Amino acid sequence: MMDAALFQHTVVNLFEGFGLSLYIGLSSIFLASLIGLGLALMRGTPNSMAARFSFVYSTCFRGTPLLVQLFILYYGIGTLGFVRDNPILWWLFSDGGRCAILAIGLNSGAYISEVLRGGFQSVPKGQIEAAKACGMPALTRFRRIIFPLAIRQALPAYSNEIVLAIKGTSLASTIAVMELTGHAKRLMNQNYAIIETFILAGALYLMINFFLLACLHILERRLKH
Amino acid sequence: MLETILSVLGEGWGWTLLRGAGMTLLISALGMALGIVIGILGASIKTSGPKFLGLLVSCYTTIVRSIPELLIIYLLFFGSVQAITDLAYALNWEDAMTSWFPALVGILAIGLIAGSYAVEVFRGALKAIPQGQIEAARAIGMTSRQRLFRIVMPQMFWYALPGTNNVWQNALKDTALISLVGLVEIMRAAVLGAAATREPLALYLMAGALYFVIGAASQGIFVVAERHYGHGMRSHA
Repeated sequence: MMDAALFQHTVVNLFEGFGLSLYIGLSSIFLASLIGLGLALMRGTPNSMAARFSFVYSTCFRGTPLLVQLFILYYGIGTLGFVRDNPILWWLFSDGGRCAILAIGLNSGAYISEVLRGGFQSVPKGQIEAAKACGMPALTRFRRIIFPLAIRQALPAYSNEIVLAIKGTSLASTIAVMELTGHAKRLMNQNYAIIETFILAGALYLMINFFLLACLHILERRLKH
Repeated sequence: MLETILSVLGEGWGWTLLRGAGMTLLISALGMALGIVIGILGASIKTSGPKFLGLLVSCYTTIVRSIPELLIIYLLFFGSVQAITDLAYALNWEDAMTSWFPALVGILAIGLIAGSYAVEVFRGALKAIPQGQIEAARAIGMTSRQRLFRIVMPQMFWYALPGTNNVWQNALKDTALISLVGLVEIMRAAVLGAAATREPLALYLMAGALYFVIGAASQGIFVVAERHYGHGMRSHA
């Protein structure tokens, strides 16, 4: 079993990682939601280049492991000459944390686009036609009719993707970002209190996920009325 | 980029990646088999087992599904590496252990993770079988074993096919994480190649393409299977 000093050392270290995990997770979820919304809207445009791009993007990103995408961004893109010469691109691709946010955002965005697409498709045609008949401009139609109806339909599946994105943040430890899983791995190697470290780290992940799921559940309930 | 890929292939890394793909397929197939067994057992317990066992299954699925796969892999690897090394030393099996231990961890980890999703897939499939069919089978005097093998199982597998496809696609992608504890599958082969050739972009793109091809091919197999076993079945639109 762990003694008090070791327990304290473990908890302090894990909490350091916890903050970074939460930061990477929330930033990538925000990025993923923007990308997902953009892709879902592009997918809805009939028979265009944008729709085809959206389809190819989501097929590629959903068809390959997140780890591969992360390694391509962090180890691969950085070797390109023009990325090294461009200060903005180099700022983005030279840092593990930013790369992780980008990779998880791009990956999760592909999944979220499918979720939102399902939501948009579920909006009854008659509602859109009625809004058109009232003379609502396209933007108002989207803001007042299409988006609220679609998001209600999509929320349960959206929360699944949130959990997957949070789980994805653990991969940041593979590119030397010391977040929760990175600290847990180091502690497991150092003090051999493997099961205890796992339980503590696992509990912190459970906390993040349950908290975010609870938030979305409250949102879901409020949107119903 | 194309020239780089060709030169990397010329150095023989294509074969290394393909051998890695064989390992990826092996580990994900065995892990998936374990996951299906866990899924069917868990689903049966949840639908018709004692209540406290059902609660245990729910705990298992909730916890495994909300904790990162990587953390579970580290637990299994670091949790058993010392014991296994000691055991191998005592039995003089060090060589076999160093090469197969990551594979065993991989199969177990993929099995546990895929199993946590498969429980829900098979529970849904069991629920989709109309109760009237079971009652009819009982009414014509089928034994419980006949009911299981002739009525329940064939339909359960059919209803579970699309969900199983999803679980399989995730299992396939999760095997990439086993590379982090030293199993030489596609991803590990790509990491080794990237270090040797100093062309990480080409190697990782090729690795991604391999995963994509395997995923697409297995997707095709599932579509064919659905069509093949679909004769005489109620479609679930």
